Amino acid sequence: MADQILDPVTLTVIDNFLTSTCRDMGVTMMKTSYSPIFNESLDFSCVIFDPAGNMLAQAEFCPSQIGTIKFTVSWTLDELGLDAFEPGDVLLHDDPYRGSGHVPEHMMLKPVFYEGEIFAFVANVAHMSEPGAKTPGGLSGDATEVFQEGLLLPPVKIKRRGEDVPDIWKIILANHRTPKVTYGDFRAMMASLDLAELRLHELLDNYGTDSIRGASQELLAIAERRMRAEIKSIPNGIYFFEDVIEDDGITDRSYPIRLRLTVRDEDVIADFTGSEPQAVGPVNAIYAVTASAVYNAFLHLTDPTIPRNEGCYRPFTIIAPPGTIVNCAFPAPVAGGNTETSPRITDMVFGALQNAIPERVVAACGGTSSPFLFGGTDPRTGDLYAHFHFEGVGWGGRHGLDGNDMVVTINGNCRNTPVEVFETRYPSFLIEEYRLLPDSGGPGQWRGGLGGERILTVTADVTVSALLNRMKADPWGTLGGGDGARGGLWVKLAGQDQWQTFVETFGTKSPSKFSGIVLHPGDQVKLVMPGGGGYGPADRRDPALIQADLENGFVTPERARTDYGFSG
Amino acid sequence: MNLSETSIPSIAGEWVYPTVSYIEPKRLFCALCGRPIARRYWRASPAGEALPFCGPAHADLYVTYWLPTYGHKQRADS
Repeated sequence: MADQILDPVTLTVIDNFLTSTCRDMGVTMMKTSYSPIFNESLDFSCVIFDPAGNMLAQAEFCPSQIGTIKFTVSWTLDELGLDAFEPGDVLLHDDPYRGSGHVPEHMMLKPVFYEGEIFAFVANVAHMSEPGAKTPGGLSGDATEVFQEGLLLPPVKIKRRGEDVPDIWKIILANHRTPKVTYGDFRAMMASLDLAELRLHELLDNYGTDSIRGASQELLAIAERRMRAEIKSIPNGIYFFEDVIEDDGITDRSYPIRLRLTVRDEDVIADFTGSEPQAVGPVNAIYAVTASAVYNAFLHLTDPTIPRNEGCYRPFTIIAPPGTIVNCAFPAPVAGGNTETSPRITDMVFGALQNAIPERVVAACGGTSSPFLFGGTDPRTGDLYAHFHFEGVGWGGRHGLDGNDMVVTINGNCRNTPVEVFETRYPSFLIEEYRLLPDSGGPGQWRGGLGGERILTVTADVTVSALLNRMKADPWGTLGGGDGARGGLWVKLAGQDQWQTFVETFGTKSPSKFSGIVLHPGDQVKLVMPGGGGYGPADRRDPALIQADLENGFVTPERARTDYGFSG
Repeated sequence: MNLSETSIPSIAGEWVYPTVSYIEPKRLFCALCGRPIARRYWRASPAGEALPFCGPAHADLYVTYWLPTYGHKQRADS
C-alpha cells in the first residue's frame, strides 16, 4: 500500500498493532523459555524503539523494567552509534553502570532494517534466574560490590548478521551456574525479537515507512500532550516526603530517601537531593531505577489510556545526586535497588501527593519484592540449579477500594511461582503452608491489602539468600489510615521447636539481607510478607465491610474491636 | 518549563563527543539531574564554570530550578 495520510482511527490501529506486538513478544518468551522466572513469574518486558532511542510502544509487563529499559537502550545507542548495527545483529547488555536495572536483568536489542536502513529497534529485558553472582540466583543480600552480583556485560553482540557469536556465548555460559537454563532463556528472548521484527515488516509492507514514521511521531506527541494535561490537573506546589530503606545487609542503620516534588503547570521535577549517601550493601538504585520508579508512580496516578510511549515521560525531570542511595556510583552493589528501593520511591511519590490529589493516591504497599534465592545440586540429576523466588505483599488502600492482597509489589507486576511448579522443578523444599495473614492490612476507611505467610521444609541441602525489607519500618497508612503489618523471615533448624531470626541462628548482620546460608533436610523457613497501609480513618469504614472482613477471616474479632470499634 | 532537547536553549553551549573508554570506568554526570553520561553531552556554563549536561534543557533548568533552589552550591561530582 502506498504511503498515506493517517486518520485517528488508523493511528489507533497502528498504536494497538505496536502494543500487541510487544504483548506477543512476551507470550513468545513465556511459551519458549526454560526457567520459571520467565514462564511463570513473567519477570520480563518487551519494547519497541525508534532509531533515535524513543520508546514507541510497550506492553503491560514489569513497570520497573519498562522505565529502565529506555535508559539501557539509549546508553547502548549512544555508546555504540547507529553505524555499529547490521541486519541480524542482537546485542546483549546487563551492566547497571550503563543503564541496566541490575545485573540479573539482561537486555537484548535487535535493529529492524527495512529498505536498507534501520527503521526501529526491538528489545526485551528479562531477569535471569542465575547471573553468575557470589551465591546462587544472584541478589546476594550482603554484597559489597557490583562484581559480586554477577557477570557484567557492556553492550556486546551475541549475534552478528544473524549468526551466533560463539566467544560471547562461551564466556556467559561458563560464568552461569545453570548454563542450560541460560541458553534456553536467551533463545526465548531472541525468538521474541525475531517475532517483533517479522511483525514490523508486515506493518511496513502495509503502510509504508513514511506513514509509520509519521504515526510514531504523532503518537509520541499525543502521549506527551495527554500526560501534560493530566499533570496540569494536579495543584501547583512543592511537595515533600521521606521514607527509609531499613538496613543494607552490612550495617545496622537505615538510609533515608528524601523527595522534593515540584509540580509546576504541566511539568514535574522529582528532586532527591538530600538523600543518604550510597549504602555499603546492595540496596542502592542506579539513576535509571530511580527515574523508572517515579514514572511508575505517575502512570498509576494518571489516565491509563494514554499511549505508553516515550512521550509519557517527557514532562518529568528526575534529579538524583550521584553517590547517593538513589544514584549510586561504581562499583557499589545495586541488586536491591531494583527490587526494594524502587517500590519505596514509587510509594514516596504517592505520599508526597496525598493532600494534593487525595482521591488518586494509594497508601504504602508492602514495599518489598521479597527476594528469596536458593540453589544447589539437584540430587535427581547432579545438575546445579538456582531460583529467584519472590512473594506478593499487601497493597495500600486507596479511595473507594481496599488494597489488593498478596500481589507482587508495585514495581514488579509479576507472579510468584505456583506451589506445584516450585516443588516439581526444585528438589530443595516442600511447601507446608501458604496463606493470607489476618490483621496484616493496615486499618482504614479502605483497608490495606493482606500480607501472607509461607512455610518451607528443606528436603535436600540448599544454599539460601535473601534481600527483603519492611521488617523494621512499617508500610505507612495515608490520610489517617493505619500502618500495615511488617514482614519477617524465620528459620527453625531440624530438631528445634522455636522459630528464630537468621541473625539469631546464623549470626547474619541483617534479619532480612544475607547470602550463602546452607540449610539441611528437616530445617524450615517461614517467610512473612508485609501488609499494605490503610487509607483514611478506620472509624469511617463501612460496618458492612468490617462484617465481611470478619466472615472472610481477613480481620480477627479482637482487631475489629480495637482498630474499628466494631462489636458486630 | 516544558523544555526538551528540541527546544531552543537559552544557555549557550556545545555538544561534546568524548571517546568511549573501556579502561576508564569513571563517569561524567549531568550537573543538573545526575544521570550518568554515556558519551555525548552538552557543555555549558550557566554559572561561570563549564559543566556537563544531558542536553540544553537541563542547562536551562539549572538556571531556572537548581540555582534558585540551591544557589551556586554545586554537587561534589560536578
